[in-house]
Amino acid sequence: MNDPGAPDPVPRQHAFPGEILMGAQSRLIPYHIPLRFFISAALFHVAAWLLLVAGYTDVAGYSGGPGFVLAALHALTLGVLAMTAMGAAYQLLNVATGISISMAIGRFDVSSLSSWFYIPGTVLLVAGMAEGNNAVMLLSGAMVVTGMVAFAVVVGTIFHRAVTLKITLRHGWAALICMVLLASAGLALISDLELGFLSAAAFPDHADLAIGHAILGGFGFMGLFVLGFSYILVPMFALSSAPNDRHSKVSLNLVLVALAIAVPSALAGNVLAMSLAGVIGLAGVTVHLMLMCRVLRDGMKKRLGLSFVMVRSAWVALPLTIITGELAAVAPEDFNLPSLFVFILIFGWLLTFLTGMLQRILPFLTSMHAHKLGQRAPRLSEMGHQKVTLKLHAACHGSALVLVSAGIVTNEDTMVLAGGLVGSLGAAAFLWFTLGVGKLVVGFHAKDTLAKQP
Amino acid sequence: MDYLRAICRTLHEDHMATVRVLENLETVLSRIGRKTPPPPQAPDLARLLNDVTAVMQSEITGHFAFEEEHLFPLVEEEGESGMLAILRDEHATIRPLAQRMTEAVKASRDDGFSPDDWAGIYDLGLELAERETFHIQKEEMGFLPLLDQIVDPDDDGALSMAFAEAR
Repeated sequence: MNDPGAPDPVPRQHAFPGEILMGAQSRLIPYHIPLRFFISAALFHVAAWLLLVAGYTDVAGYSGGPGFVLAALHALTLGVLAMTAMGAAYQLLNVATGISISMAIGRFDVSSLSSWFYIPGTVLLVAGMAEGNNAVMLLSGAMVVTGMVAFAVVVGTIFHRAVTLKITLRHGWAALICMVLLASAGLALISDLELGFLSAAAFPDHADLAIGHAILGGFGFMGLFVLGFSYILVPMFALSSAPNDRHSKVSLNLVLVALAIAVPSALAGNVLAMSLAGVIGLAGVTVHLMLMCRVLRDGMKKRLGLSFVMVRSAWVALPLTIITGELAAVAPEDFNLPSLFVFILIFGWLLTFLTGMLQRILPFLTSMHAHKLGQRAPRLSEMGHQKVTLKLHAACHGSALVLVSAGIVTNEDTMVLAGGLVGSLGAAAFLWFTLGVGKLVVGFHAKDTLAKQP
Repeated sequence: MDYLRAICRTLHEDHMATVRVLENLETVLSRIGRKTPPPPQAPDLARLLNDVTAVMQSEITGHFAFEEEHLFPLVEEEGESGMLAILRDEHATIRPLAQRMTEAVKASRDDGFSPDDWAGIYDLGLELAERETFHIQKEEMGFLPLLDQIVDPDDDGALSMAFAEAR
């Protein structure tokens, strides 16, 4: 059809990032790989809130060290946030970049291999943290890092080969670098519990390294993944063009500068430099949020449902997190601000955003699998008993955030306890949703296998 | 979305108009609810239901048929049969839904809404809106961007004319 003499089409300035349906079915990875990450994340989600309940008396004034609070934090960061990012990245990057990766070591697929180390490793690590068992923490920490390395190899290869979605890839590279630093800091912190080497002059203080570790995890690894994937997912669901690459790059550069200042100044305990990093980071996320608002304003779809109520709430929590972090650096003794900062960062911004997106991604992938197998997909809104599960989850999640935050600020342990219980109920509802959708995918494949039998 | 080819821009505008009407339908249905039928003389609702049936009739007769006859073969030549299988499958699901919706709305014009009729229109309307919007999402995500790359500028005008006639 193309006339050889015709001029090449001019590349579109604002390419639609969702040009992902082309050949998407052929790039769907085996359903059980993303599903095992998503179901594990939903289980850890419940565990994280329950651990918070178990350690409710220590939440408000938490200042580090093993126990239920540390276990709850890592059940959420490693068990829910990173777990979801891994499952989503394996599937979405294949489809969105058009690069099909099937890496194997011997007979073993590397993506599967990462789950074998990462999922049980996280279970053990969380258990070890709850119990304060250093040996278990060290062993399981090594397993988690091995899983992360396998993830980095697969995802890094896709990033290296991909030619589209440049802004997401730039975020992805930066997130992977943060992940390496984060894992190193994490292993050093665990080792220090046994060896106590961080008290030596050449190393940062244990508490300062823990703050650097939190910044690298929350804003670096997970934060950059969330910001980067937003440039694909938000336009895709709102049916809109991607933001201008130049503007997105401004946001990314500001965030990277903020991180480059925040982490070393946290290690050095330099409050002034940390405050400066906070201001720069705030500028970066403001640009990002303005771009996201423009995407929604220009999108064809205006009714985006409950999932975008969650996403919008997360966008409110994002600048709030940085402001709280600034205040916590300046006045760490007031209103339990350091605990509040960590809570809003991971339960407020990141968890709210990820559960909002996951409730769209899971039915979408399920529908793609049904089509691939030539089966009629149910309506998206009928999957996973959404009318009950997702509404219950949203109501409980919002209430839990308010209750726990208020409990931390006022030092009222009973409010933290109440928030934790409500959060657990919401997480159980989300687990019910995830299992419901997962059951559908498994059912499609079982039906297909049955039909193919002679 | 900035498409280079006129045919893609026209299809995109068609999609936007359809999504707008269906989002209105979802909003109004959610506001009224399933259990209580609206009063028989509700001019805004009657106008909206008429818009929905008009848009969906144009969609399933003009838009779908044109795509299947003129555009899918072009995309098929590019080897994207997997995507087309999804889109054809969805056309086949949406057509009877739109037809049933048209008939239900037509019947309500004469007889008003009994509780059962209204519950039927409510369910049908929400299903139609969801399936058609998801279908449009897929076309905007894969089909139109690809079409924009493969349609020759010389054929663009002829395709646009053919689409105008099909509608």
